[in-house]
Amino acid sequence: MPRVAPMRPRLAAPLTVALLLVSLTACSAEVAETAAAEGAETRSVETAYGEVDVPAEPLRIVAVSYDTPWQLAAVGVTPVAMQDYSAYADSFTADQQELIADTDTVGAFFDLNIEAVMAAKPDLIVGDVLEIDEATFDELSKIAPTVIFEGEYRGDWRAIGASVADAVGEGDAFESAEAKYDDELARVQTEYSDVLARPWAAIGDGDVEGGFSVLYPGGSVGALFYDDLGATLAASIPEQEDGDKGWMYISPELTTTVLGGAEIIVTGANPEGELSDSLAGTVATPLFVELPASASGQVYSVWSSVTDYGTALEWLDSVEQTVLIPATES
Amino acid sequence: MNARAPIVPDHAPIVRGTGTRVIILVVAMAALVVCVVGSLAVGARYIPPSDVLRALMDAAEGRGFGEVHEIVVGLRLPRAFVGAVVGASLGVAGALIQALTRNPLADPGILGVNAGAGFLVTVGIGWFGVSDIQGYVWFSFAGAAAATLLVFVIGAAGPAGATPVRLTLVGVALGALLSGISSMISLLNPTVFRGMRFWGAGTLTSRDEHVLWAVLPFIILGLILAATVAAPLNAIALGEDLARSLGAGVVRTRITVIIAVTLLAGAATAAAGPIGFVGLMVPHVVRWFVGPDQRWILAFTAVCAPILLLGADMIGRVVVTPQEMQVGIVTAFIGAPVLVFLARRRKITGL
Repeated sequence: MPRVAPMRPRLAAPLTVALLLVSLTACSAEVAETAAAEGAETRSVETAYGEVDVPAEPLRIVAVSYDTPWQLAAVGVTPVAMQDYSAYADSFTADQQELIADTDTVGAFFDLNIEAVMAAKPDLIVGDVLEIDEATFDELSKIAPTVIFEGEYRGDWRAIGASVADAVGEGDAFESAEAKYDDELARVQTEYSDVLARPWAAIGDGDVEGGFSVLYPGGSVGALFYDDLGATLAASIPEQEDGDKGWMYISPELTTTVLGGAEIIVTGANPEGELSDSLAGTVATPLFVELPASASGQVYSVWSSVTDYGTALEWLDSVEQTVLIPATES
Repeated sequence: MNARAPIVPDHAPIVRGTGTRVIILVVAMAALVVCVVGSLAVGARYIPPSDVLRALMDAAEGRGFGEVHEIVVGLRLPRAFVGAVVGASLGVAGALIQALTRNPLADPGILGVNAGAGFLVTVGIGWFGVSDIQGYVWFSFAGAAAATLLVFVIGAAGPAGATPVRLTLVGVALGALLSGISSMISLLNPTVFRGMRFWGAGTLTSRDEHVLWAVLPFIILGLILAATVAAPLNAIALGEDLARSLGAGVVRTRITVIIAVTLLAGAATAAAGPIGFVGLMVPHVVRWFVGPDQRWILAFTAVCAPILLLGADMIGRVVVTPQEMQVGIVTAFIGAPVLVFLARRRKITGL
């Protein structure tokens, strides 16, 4: 005869889960209410998901997108929690490593931990649309006022950084950093106009061994060299196809065809100026070694992970020291 | 008892008679030579045939330099040879695994070869700092061999022994497990994720003579083993009892086939990454033309599979210039509709 399972144990698990969900919901509502109550004075901010009321002076800010902590740090704000960057630690500068070392984490890139966000007891949550879709925004909004911003392209740190700074009440600090960068940029452009007028190529990792990608104006890194710095794109680089996002993979067979017209080649690198394994392999191929830029020793490795005007200034200084000064002397 | 009734082909072979088959095989060999030559002439960078010829002649005389020499002799020549041996390996491995499992739609991946290779490459990138093809080769080969061995050990456990069905089930299960773990590691480790970009899609780009020499001994050994089991596989196709009465060693043949498949598919995957559909499509189409005799199937497959792979590689080089499309993606584009066509046929060509 089949044995009938007792009712109580069968109901115990679903009841426990239900109670847990109810308590979590209650907890999140409590956190949101507490934040609203504590931040008596609020102001309205326009975000990618509509208008949001935020505390006039937020005290516990949680950064939920990859670039957000640096954009906050650039205007003097330290978030109480941010993503776990340990898997990418090598790609950060010493200052950035110091910032991420002691801060609580709320999950990893594209793997946000909502409960960790709740545990951080934020009064403001900040991020961008790349990682935070509207459903996640709705979840986060139950915890605290959440502001999610959007730029014109992926990694548009200027537009997103300006919105982030405004949301935390540091718009003036942002404008000050912007002015400082623009002044320094103008000096560099004037001082090295001859070097910048020579044909340049900026390259990154390829999709096959020995291959590479060329970077174009308008892309997150290409914009730094061509749009900001004003370097001249080598005529040998093929036109960007419609819909591209600022870079294009190139076959190893076309190394000479595409890069042969460049007098100066800049490659992506980590903060120590070291190339990735794949790029190191590419620049060692016979076709790359025979390029005019290689033969004249004008292939330069530049760290270009700019996320805000603070890192932009560091990048500009790095370009001057590692590219512009040596190229002037050559 | 594992004896099964012989599977009767659903139609007579299109090509009949030994003489006709030999003539067509010679024509196929000529087509393969054309493909190898085409592989030297076609690429993202257009090089006039006369310049290609001059570069080859200069290389034969031990001289030559410059861009054209580097592209033709340094990039395309080893790539063509690697493509030819990888294609032959994948095709013959597919023919063997279809004969062993008596499943006309099986391919080498069914024994977990690709998943095993991918798993150890993942481990190599993540924990041993492997970053180039010379490093991938050995991890990939070891992974393929270990996965096949594990499939055989698990599949042979128990009183029923290593029947084709058990091996297939274990292979599929282990393959799924290893693929899942590899994916998890790739998603959690950015270094592995970046490294797998160069291996995961299956490509012949930048495969030089070192890769060729590394895998060639295993491929030659695998092809020799395949040649020795062609006749016993014909006998096994008649049913295991009848095969035994004809003097064919069923267990010995199975073990030899598994070793050959491991050598061939493992070496091919090590050299080019996981490339699908070649081992599935070519033996199947060849069987349609030449009938169920494994001797002809293996011979034709060894010649026709490289034609498909080199053709797909040439398409991949020119279809999205200035980029290249990995050959594994092109074979998938070709293979998917062919697989649908095969599946929709009223009868699958019997073994």
